[in-house]
Amino acid sequence: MPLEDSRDCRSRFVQLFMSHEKQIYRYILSLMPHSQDAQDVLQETAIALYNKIEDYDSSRPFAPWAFRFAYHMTLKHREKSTRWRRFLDEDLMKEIASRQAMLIPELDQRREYLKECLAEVPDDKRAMLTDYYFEEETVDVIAEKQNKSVEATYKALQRIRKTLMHCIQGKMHASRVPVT
Amino acid sequence: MKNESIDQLNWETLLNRAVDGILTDDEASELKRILKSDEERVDEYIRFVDMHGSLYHEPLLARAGEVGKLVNMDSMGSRKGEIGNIGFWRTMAAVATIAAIGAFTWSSKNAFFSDESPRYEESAYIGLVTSLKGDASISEHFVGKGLERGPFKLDSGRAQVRLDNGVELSIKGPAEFDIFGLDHITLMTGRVTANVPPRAIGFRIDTPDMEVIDLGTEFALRVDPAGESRLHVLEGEVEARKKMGVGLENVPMIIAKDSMHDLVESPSYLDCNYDPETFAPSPLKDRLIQATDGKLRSLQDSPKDLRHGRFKHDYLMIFPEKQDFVLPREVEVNLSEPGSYRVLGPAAKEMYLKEATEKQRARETMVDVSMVQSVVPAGTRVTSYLVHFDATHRQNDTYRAKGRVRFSGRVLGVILHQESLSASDDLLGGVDTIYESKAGRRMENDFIRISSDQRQIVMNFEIHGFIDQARIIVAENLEETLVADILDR
Repeated sequence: MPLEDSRDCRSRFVQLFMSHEKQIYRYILSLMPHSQDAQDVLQETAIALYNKIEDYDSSRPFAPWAFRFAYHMTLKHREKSTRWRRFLDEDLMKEIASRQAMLIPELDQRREYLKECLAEVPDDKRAMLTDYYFEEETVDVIAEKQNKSVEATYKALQRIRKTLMHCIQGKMHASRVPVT
Repeated sequence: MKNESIDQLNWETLLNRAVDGILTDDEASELKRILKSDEERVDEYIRFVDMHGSLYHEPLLARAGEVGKLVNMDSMGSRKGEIGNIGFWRTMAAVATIAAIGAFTWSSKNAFFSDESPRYEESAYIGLVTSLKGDASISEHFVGKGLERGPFKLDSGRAQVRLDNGVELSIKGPAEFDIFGLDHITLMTGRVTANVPPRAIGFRIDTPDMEVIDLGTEFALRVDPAGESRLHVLEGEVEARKKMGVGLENVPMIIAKDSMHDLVESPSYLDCNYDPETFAPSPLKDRLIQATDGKLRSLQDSPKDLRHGRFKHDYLMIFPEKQDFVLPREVEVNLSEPGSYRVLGPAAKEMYLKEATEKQRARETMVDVSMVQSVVPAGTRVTSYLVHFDATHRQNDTYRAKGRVRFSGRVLGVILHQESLSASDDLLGGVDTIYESKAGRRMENDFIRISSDQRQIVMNFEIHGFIDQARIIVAENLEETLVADILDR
């Protein structure tokens, strides 16, 4: 391939990947719900997509094409861990992937409401979310910072997530967005 | 297909354990069994996991730390020995409360170039000068100057200031305005363009004859010497009115960028076409810094004098040095790999070993400040940033500040060691900047974390007598950054 073409390809890949990265990440996370594992799969997916970008038909949407790679990379990653082997089989993966595609409009709406609900979270609880999600602190570290036991910290996070889920659900009902 | 085989609480616990990565193998099997037997649970699972994933990218969580940028509580804590152990974010929440009730007063004159100041006082300034161009650089202002409530005058040149609520003001001299608070200024004369982030919606600029209230936007205002104002909306929309207009012009009117040309009766103060000469330019944004928070502030330009005691501030200050250039020679960096590092000078090492808890030592890699972790090769296109922290006013004072910066490019390395900093000043430093000699900058007991994606740096710096500086080398090209990431892995 001529150098210019190769540069175009690379440039196109970067543009496409960056604009779909979060979407791909969420897709992987639905199959493998732990963030660190999902990030590893995302990396592997990026490499695979990069190597195959010349095969991409730009007249078609990028996300479904990328999801196919993400799906196979998740399958591959599953083999590295007993836990994920026990959790995932191909039937379940297909079921989750298919339901996730159906739920896309609802999930988009829920993410909007998530912002509103986060704004209502008290400062101390939001601080915990910031430590966990933005700082990516481990629960051990957060527990130590807050002088709580690790178990209590997990429970506190669980309660905050539950509150957020309820808040989002309430807003969904209020706006009469039909829940699929 | 439905199978009520698990109660709600246990179901939620199972979901939480899955996303926290602490599922046992048996629980993983249980989760699979439930999902395969109950379609509703599949949907609930997807909704829950999607929310969890979205939280990782939710900027609102980052902004939580920015509410309290007004007062340096860490420094106060270390001085009084009272709140040093309070969690950083809780401290910030406390700061917000304190700021809200206006409990502190301060004069910016005490904070800068003031070696004689006997006390280190909490700041009450509400913004910063982040850039000066042209003749403005020889005015009474300087890059990094704190802004108080009160008058601001720029005789000539261009300046950019950032208020603590994120409002960016680009000013073209001559201009004169009064800052009443974070959400309100009065422009007496001159040209100002305001970029207002969503959290500062409602920001208002008065002029002698107008009121303009932001509704999520960027807008330009010009007031001529006779006090007559002109408005142009660059993005979003504003609510504007003449204070004493003819006809309906004194009635508030919503003016949107997209509809300026469609107004049936265009108000007399509106310039539908934007002439960059007659208005101030749009505020600039740093090309590579995506976000900062905590007690770290970014500047558009480099301050002039960074010698010990010459650029005192109660925040970590970050600014670009040499930008977008190709390294003519390789550069040694002290840190480059993702990880959490405790950087220790010889004196601090013994103390750290004695005082650090086992958990703290387990989660930090203890490194000697002179360690060289890697080399950024010649030929790499980079931009260099310097983080500067100099807040001491008395010899034995200790001050701390913690902050974070996120770049759009990959961090290739961090230089911390005094000798390495001095050795790289000529290559990476700003051309017009005077740097401290190696003797005056010294890392003693400081924490740095490089995130796993190598785009984020968290710093928790402590100064005691010497200034702390960290030079961060960032890959300039986004495309190269991503490709390098992929190839590295």
